[in-house]
Amino acid sequence: MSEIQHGFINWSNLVSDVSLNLPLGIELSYLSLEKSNGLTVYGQAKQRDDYLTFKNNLAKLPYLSNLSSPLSNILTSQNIDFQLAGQINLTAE
Amino acid sequence: MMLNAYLLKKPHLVAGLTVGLALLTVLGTIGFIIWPNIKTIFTLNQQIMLERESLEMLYQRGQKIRQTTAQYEKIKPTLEQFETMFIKPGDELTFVTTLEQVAKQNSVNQKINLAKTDDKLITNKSLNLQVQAIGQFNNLLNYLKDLEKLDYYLNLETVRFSKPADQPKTSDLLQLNLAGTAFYKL
Repeated sequence: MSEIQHGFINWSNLVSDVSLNLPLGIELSYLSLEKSNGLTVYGQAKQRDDYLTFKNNLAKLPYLSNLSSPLSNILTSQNIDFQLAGQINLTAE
Repeated sequence: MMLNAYLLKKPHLVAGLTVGLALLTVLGTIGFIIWPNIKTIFTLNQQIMLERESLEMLYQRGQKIRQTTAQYEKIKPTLEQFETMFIKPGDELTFVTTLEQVAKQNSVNQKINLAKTDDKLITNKSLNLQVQAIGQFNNLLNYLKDLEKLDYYLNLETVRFSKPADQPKTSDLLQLNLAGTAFYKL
């Protein structure tokens, strides 16, 4: 029983957190939250600053760590197709 | 007569005999009456002590049974609630209709893929569940919240939002894919 209860994750809270931390110039096309693979996000940013704000907002979430961002995310200043990945620390949720 | 006369002549002998008889009487009383009674009393005392310990143990057991019964009565409603948190084998339809109601309440189109009640597919009393839901983001989020609030034990492993392939780019509809485990009560 405790094993089952321990396996429960309140995913909607994580989704809410991500959506609340979206700056206006960001549109997500893909958001994946997995126990095994963590967080994966694909999206488009109007400006580089929008992307950086979003990335910094995500980095501040206490249960996200090792946020990785490929260099291609910052090579253009406008209309950026970006991707982000990170680990979800479930015990901190 | 001669003995009397003899004894009268030896008063210390009379006194000695008297003391001796008195001592014999006392020793006899102690040896044959008091000592056996002391032994009996001692044995009875031990038996009473053992009986008392035994009664105390019985009392404590009784107390424990009363406490356990009281505790059981306290958690009985919770236990009954636990029963409803598992899918009963053969009653998967109730679970499916519950998911359908949640989808309807949140204006979400839903496709459920639930492993059949085949023994080969049941591992650790669990059932694989995959759901694909299409709707607006807020509706999908509320749908997810409602799923998490269900009485059923439903542990999701994957939550994935994406743009549906068959929708125009201007559409605000999203696709939510969920994968997880529901639990059987076997």
